[in-house]
Amino acid sequence: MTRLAIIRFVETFFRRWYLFLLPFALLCALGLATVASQDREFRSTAMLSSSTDTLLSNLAGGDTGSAWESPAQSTSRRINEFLRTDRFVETVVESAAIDATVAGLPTIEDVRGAVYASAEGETLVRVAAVTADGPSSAQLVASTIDVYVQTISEASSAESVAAEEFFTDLAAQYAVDLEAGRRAIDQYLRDNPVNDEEARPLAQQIEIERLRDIAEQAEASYGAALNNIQDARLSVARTIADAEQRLQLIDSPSLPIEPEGSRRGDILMVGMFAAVGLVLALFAAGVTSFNDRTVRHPKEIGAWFGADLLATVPNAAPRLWPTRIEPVSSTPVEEGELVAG
Amino acid sequence: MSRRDRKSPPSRTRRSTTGRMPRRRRRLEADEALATGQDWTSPDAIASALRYFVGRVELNNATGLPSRLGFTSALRGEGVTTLCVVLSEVIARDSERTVCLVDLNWYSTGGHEDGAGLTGVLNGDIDLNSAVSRTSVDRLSYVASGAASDAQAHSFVRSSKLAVVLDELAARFDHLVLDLPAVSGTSDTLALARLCDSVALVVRHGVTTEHQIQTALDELRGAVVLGVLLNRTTSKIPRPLRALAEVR
Repeated sequence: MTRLAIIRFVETFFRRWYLFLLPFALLCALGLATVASQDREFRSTAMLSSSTDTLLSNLAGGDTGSAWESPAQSTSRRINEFLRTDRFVETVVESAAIDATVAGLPTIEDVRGAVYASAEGETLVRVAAVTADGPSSAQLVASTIDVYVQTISEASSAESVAAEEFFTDLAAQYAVDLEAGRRAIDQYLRDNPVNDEEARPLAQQIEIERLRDIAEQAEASYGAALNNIQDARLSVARTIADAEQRLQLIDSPSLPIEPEGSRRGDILMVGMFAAVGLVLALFAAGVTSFNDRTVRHPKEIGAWFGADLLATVPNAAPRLWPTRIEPVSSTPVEEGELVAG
Repeated sequence: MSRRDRKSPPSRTRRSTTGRMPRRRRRLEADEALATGQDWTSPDAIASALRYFVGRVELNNATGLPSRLGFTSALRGEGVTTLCVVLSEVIARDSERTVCLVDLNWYSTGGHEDGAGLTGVLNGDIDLNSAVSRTSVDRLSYVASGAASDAQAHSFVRSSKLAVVLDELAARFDHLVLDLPAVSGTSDTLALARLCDSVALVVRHGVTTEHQIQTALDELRGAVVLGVLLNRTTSKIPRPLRALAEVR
């Protein structure tokens, strides 16, 4: 019975194949139209290496990873976290200097959705951007990396920068004190002139010595402040260098020329529509086959009615029929001829 | 009654004025040609199928092909007349036996509307010899039904005169091929089936429904039903798939 049902189904399908394939054809056309109307997207990617093996990694802190998170995972997570902040995204857009209309990213949310980072193994981080414009995608990726590195560096060197600022202010104060001390000595010498320094009274000598001590003390403080400023600046430079060493750009942002995954995606899309159309066509054929209760196969005579099938007479094609009929008058049978032969 | 059931058969007397005739009308020309004694040839494919039918029936029956073999169908227009014509010719041509095709279907009369044929015999207007027409095929004769109203047809079917006429024809010919009306068309078919030794049901492929066939077989239960001839079979399945499905 199953075989008969299958044969009936196939017979029904091919009897009106043009009708049953109509939904298939329509959905294929719809799939093609959908693919044709889709916006083309260009994907740019860059690869970063995130490692902990740097001299100043401890000072810099940051993406050192942990027991349950690799450096790459840590870095990608932090990039994605930064992308959730408006300030970071605005800085990225400003740094990239892209045309929002051309890139198809009119809002911050669009930019946020267009850029992402993902870990590729232990140390590699892929940063990607998908926009409607190839160069914009590449610029967005480059800008994201630059802003991220800058942000990390700034965060790591914030203490050193604060120290530099503190010592700079302090050095300025010390410089004023040093200048004041020197002026006080000069002023005292001008007010108390002597021809021979050795003939100067003892009280003046003591006062001058006191003023010189003050000036030397101010000079020493000023010099120490300058040294501290240099140390702070060195620390900043080291921190930035450390951050840059830990985040090395392996692959520069690619400049996509072809739209992303156009062939495969398009084929998949059309294939999905075609599959739905085929299912609809087969369903329609199945329903029609189920509702058709006429005899479609000789074996159904025996299966349905238990009757003997005596013959299967084909539907003779027109060419099999006589094309020429000769007119012959009817001749009644004479009596005596109607005897069985 | 479905729309298909109510559909009346096309006129058998109409001819196309053009040289080429529609398929259905051309098929009906075969009946008309035989009725008027015109020369014609059975389609090979149909003749082959009916040769198989004859062989099958002769093999199944110890007595061979029944003397009075009736053909009916569930609905009108299933091709009973065509099969009767071709079968009669096949038997007459292939064997040395005489065959008489008797049209008992007064409900689709054509051609003989002048009171001749079986109607004339049953009314006593003509004798049986005048009703039997010789055909261009050797050993094949034909008795037309003649024109009759429904009331007349009902009375003919149930009269003993018809049985006598058929007995007389059966005595003169080796085989009578009886063209019976459709089962759903009239209850007279059941009465006519009783006058046959055996009856075969013609089923048109892709037209007659399961219910209609079952109803016809149920109504013919009292008669000796040989089986079913599946007529005008065709398959739209492509040949490679057809081979896989073993569809003939």
